[in-house]
Amino acid sequence: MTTATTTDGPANGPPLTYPPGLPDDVAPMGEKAAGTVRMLLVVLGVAGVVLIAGAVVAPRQFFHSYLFGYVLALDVTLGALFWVLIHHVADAGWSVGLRRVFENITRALPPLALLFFPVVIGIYSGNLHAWYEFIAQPEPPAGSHELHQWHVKHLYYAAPFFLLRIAIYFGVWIAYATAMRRWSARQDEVGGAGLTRTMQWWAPSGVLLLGLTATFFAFDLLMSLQYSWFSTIFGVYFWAGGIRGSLSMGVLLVLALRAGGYLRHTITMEHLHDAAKLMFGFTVFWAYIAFSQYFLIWYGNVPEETQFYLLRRNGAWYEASILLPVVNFAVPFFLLLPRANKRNPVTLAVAAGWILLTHAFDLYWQVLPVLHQDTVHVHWLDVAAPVFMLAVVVLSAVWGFRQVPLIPVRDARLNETIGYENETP
Amino acid sequence: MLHEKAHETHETAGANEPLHTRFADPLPRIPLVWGPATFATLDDQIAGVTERPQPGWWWPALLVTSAVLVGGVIAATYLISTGVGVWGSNNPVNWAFDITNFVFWIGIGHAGTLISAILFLFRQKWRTSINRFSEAMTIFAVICAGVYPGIHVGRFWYAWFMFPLPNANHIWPNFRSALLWDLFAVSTYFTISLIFWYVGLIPDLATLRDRAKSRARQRIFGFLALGWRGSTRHWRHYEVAYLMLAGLSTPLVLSVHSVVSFDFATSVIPGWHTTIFPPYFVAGAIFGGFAMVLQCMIPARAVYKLENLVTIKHIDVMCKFILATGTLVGYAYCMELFVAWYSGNPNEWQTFQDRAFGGDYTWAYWTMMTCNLFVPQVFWVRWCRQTPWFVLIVVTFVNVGMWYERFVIIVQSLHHDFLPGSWGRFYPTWVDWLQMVGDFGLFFTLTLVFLRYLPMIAIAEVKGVLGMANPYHTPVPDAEYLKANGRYPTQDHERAAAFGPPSNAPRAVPASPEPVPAFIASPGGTGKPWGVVAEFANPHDLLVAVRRARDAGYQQIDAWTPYPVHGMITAIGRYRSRLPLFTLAGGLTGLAAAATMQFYLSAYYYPIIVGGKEYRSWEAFVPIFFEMTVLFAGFFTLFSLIGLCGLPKLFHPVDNHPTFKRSSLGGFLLTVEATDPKFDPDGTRAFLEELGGKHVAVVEG
Repeated sequence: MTTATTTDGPANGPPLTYPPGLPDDVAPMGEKAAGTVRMLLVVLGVAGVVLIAGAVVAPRQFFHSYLFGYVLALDVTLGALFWVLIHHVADAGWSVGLRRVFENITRALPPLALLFFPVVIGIYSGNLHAWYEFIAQPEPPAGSHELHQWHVKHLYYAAPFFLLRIAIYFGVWIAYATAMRRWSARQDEVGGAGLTRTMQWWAPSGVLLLGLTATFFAFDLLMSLQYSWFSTIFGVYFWAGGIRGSLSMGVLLVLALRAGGYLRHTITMEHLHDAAKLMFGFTVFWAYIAFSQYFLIWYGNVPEETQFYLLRRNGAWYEASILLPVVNFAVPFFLLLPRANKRNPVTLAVAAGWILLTHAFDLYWQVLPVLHQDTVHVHWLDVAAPVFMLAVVVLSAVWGFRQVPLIPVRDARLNETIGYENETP
Repeated sequence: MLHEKAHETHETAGANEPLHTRFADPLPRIPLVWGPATFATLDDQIAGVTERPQPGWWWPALLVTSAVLVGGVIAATYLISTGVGVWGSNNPVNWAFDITNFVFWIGIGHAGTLISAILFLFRQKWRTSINRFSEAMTIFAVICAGVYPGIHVGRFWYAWFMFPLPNANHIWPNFRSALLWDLFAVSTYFTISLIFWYVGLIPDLATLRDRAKSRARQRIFGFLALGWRGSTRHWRHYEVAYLMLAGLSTPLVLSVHSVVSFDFATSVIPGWHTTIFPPYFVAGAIFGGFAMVLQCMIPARAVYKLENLVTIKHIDVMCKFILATGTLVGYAYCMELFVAWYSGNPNEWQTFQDRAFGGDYTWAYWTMMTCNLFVPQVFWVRWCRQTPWFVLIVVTFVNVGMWYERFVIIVQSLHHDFLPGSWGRFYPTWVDWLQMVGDFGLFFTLTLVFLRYLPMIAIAEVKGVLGMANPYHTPVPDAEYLKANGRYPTQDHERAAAFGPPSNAPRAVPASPEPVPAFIASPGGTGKPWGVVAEFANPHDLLVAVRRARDAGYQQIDAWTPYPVHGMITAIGRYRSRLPLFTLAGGLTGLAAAATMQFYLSAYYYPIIVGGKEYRSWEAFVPIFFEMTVLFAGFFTLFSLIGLCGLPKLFHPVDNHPTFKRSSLGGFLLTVEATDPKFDPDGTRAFLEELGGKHVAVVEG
């Protein structure tokens, strides 16, 4: 056990007082992370150049791949915001250390807000969503099949309303993420229960607003790829994926930190065992939601609804559709079922990495069939875009670890997270 | 020494160490039991309710509820003797009060499973004060719901048509029908809930047995408790079995109301066919169930003076659950309404326009919206959550609202279907009303009987959450209790502190009612010793003694405690139970059985086309796959628990020890068996006395 230095401040803030008795050095990483940052910047640069090249040579492919990668990064980040908020809602104690990881992931929200502009360009250049052209046409004649559709969609997708909505979503997310992160960092300096109570007071409204905004984001960007398709559960499907994806991302970051010698005695396998149980739980939850959606549409067999799955039966998309529940549910289910696998860093890392990968596959399966309706065409942009976007997320998180202590050092519930013991029989 | 030992058995630093606060604690956790309480006072307070004469209001209350129940019986008898025409159901509203009540009651049950299983998995220990009551409520609510499938066919002697049995011409039930899934889901739910409830009750039944004054009570509870004595070797299987049952019940509770929602959502009727139905129904069920728990619990806690156990904080948290689930249900209402518009589907939008704006049932829709979405929003305010009479009013709204929700979904959607020519309204008859009210009579009659005869709070579990239950508990001085920097951080802390500081663990073993001889003969014994029994004052002393005995080379040690003491399993030299393998085996057996049954019967033995799907299409078999997996896994868990513990064991040599029955009350006992190679009647007895054991005696085998 090493005792943390007692006065070692964040990179460029006032000196912090670390409570004596912390089992690890949790000072901000500062220059120690410079190598990681450089590496991530290289990845970001290379992927960015590839993306720009792709935008020039294959614009339609570029916009679809970009949307796929973008949504992956965004839902992981929103999931992280969910975990931060739910920690406060539940007045949790065990997850204090993990919360800092999620707080740092939410630092990706402002850059992601900027990175949304290419999506806007994609839509309004007619390269992404078909509704753009549908609502641009004049009102269909009375009695035509598309009349009702047109009436509704030209209101809902009217450009000012659409853009205003997007702005509101990002406003809500950035506001809550920033506030939670700042209060948490401020508590590192002053300690006490006051800021804990402030965060607990604001968190429930955050969960409510996050739930609503994430739902409508999913409707606006994903469900609307086939604008005449609709599914009331789609928002929940989006939550389920993002919450699970972000948990995997958080676990991978913790395991990476531990592999680098950090937090070894602070975020232990006891904490990660619980995180793994949540990953398992949300794996089942995803399957439940995915099955509910598929099953009711399959059983009802109404053409407006089945179009979603019919599109994903063409060519190799059929095999991809069968593969999805296998790789995204069955494999992680059995991987995470034994207790030993949840308590082993290697199997846990494999499971978390696997889930992140298959979650990306889930989003790929949602976005790309709209572009390649005949069969699967894997394009190099389909790799570059998610790599670029995830690099943004990881870089934002690492940037956070450079700035603030690796755990909330003066949290009111610190006693419950340090030396936490998993009580499951 | 204790600490070194702890480090050897746990991989993480700090595990098992005393729970001292190492860092500043500006927001102390409020304990779950308020005021002074010991293991003995808990027994008196909770088990005492079932032992003392019933309070004066109990008989009149039972009279009223059973009179109402008789009304329901009359309605059902009239229905069966005459035919379903006595109900107001008509064409197009062919389903009305029957299925509304069915869904309402099934939903009520869900809170019980949420509290007992899901909160258990999330280690929300406040659940221990309310889980028994909620589980009982689950069972009664499912019974109330089960009335309807039985009687709604009118000719209830054909009720066996619902079961997977061939009726005429080798025709089997349609395994692709949502109504058959309902049968599997509801019966699995009832069975698993009953198992879960019973497993939870076993330690408390032992407590009742050991407190019993009359021979009859001793025998009844002795039989029901299967001979449970709180052995740590049993607790080790018990805790894992409980975890397995919680793990099974969690997806089960989601599946049950999802399957109920499939009754509607698999159709193509606007207002019924929508993908959010499964999670929406589950959220609504938990919402309504929590309301019913509070509806019953608030009066019960007042009349039985349980405010220190079911504290105002419990009510507060349950109100937050009502707020959260009510808002989720509101989210689903809004999604339905939004997507009905967004879809651009004229039929869908017609239904929702009629529902929400200016149709025959708009009043019911807004009643539902008001009761379920708007009214619970008052729970954002702390005063509203912490004022019992006010909470009681709000939860009444919720119960009414949840009934109306089902009424709106069912009746409103049916009364305006695709053919405007057949549109019509529904008018309930007196039989409908009497049947509905009679169900409440059934529910409250069962509840009253339960309160009277079984402990309404899980005694063993509450014992386990007392501060003194932790062997490493170090109490704070009374003056600093719940304070940080000399003052109470919140009003909640102040309210809890007003009940007084918690009791400290007893330091001495209470005297035995009769002298304990050094050798206790068993009637009809073998003449050889079974082992040595020693009693300790508290969990800490027992744990220390067990570890010293292990260090001294004893192997056949057992610790007998009223609740599972943390760290005791490894201390007696045992490891985690392998019971989960049985659960897994059960699950796979159930899955294989369900797959064989459905594919064989539906695709091969008597192939039936349903809904234009292929014979071998698997999708519609999934609900029964799942239900049978859980059903078998639950049975395997129960039987492997009983088998691994060697129960029932109604007689045991230690029963002759005069203070041994304290192991289910507030005593902590250690035994060393004669099979131990190091065992020596006199030497071992002396050793245990040296460790500080009291009432040490050799018992005859």
